[in-house]
Amino acid sequence: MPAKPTPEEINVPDLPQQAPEVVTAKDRVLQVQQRFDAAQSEVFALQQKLDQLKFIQQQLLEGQALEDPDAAALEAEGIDAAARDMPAKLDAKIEELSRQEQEKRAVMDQTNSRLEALRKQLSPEDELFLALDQASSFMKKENVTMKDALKAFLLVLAAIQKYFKYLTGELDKAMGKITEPAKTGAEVPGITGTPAEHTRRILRESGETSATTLKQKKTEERDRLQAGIPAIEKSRDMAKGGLVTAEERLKTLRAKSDTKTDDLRTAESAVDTARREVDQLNRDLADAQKKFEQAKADLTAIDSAVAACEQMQVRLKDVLMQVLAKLPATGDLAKALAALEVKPGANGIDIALGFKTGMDMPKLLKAFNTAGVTNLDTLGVNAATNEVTSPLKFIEAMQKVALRAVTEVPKPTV
Amino acid sequence: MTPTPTILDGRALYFQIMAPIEPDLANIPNLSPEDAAAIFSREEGETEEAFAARNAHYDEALAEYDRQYRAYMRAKEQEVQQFASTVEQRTREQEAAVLNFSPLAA
Repeated sequence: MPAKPTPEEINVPDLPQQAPEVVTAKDRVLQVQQRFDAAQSEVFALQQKLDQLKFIQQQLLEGQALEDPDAAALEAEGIDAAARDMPAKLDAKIEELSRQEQEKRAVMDQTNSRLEALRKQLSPEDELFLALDQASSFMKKENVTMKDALKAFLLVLAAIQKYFKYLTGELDKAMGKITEPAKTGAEVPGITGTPAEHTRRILRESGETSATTLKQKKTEERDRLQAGIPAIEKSRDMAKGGLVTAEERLKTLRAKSDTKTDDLRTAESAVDTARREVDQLNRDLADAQKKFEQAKADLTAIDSAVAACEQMQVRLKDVLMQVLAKLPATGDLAKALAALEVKPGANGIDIALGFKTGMDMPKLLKAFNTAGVTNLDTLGVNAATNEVTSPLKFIEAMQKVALRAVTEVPKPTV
Repeated sequence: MTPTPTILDGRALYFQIMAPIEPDLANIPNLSPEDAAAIFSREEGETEEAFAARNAHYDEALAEYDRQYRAYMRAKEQEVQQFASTVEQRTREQEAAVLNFSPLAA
């Protein structure tokens, strides 16, 4: 607080020196006006100071009234009495607050338990559509603000993200761990693990990154083996014929008494050679047949895994489309929806297996470009291979597209 | 308990002091500059001496106003200071009561 002025300091401002003789009428008016102005400003300053003090005094009185409703009695008794009673009153107050806090906590715990129980009954889809309902309620208010719209949108997008994670988990299960044929593909004899596991393994072993290419190579391999087997069989049969001939010659030579030892040894050697050739061709044939069966099993496994993953992809797409369809339709969002069109077939297979997007990449990129997402890395896509390297980044970029759509809606209506 | 001071507002204060001293000067703030100047101009038929005497009277009135105004303001400043002391004392007492309370000691 500034130092208080001494009585000497309280003074009217310096007044103009009065003229020694008669002052003009204008000067006289000025003299009066200066005194009047000084009174106005100085009294105002003093009144302000007084008002501050009155406010502090009021606060003090209210503070006492809070501690004890019988403030008048306290006032009469004096401040000492109030201070003397304060510890006991504070104790009582703390106890009361503590009891209220415990009651509140009990009610909260009970409510949370019930909510948790209810939540457990919800399927992931239920949760998603619950979020949509909540978002709709934000938007149904009168005078919907941009903040309301964004709040609703973020709620929905968070739910989509959660559901996407759930689906990703489902996909992972489908790709590896599960025993459910519907999700992993039908059982295939001759392979180890589920079709999805088997497909992943042969992809890894072959160095391929695309199920489509792998399937093509496996088909070629199967056809080649299939075509090669008869040729091996024919060679083997010819070798068998040669063996029979060699054995008969050896038999004839042994039956003769004048057969030279060298001729006999030569015939025996020819039989051994023919037998080894037949054995080798039999092994080649068995190997080719085994490889052929394996190629057939691989192809069946790939088809089965792909079918399961396509089913998952269609489900994902359906849900996303349902969710997005409920959001305010705007130009950009419509573009994003169009861009999210998932093509069935080879690309769809690839995305289901987690290697390529399977979406119409040029259209999708255009939509993201419109929303300012121009960097493929921020999109979570490898520019060279079009592989989705980060599904989460991809979803975040999708959020940007959707958010931009929302922020451009002047007056969202639902 | 010190009573809460009351302070007249600036306009009322000026009028309260000046009106008994010189009604002409008390009324000046209510007039337009032209009307106010007219009061202080030499009137028709007023002699030079009479006009000078009137001006001298105004000078005395203003000096008297200044004296009374300073006295009023000094008195009010003292009242406010006294009131401030009382409030500060109450504040200190209340703070001390809170600070002296120790839950552990209780």
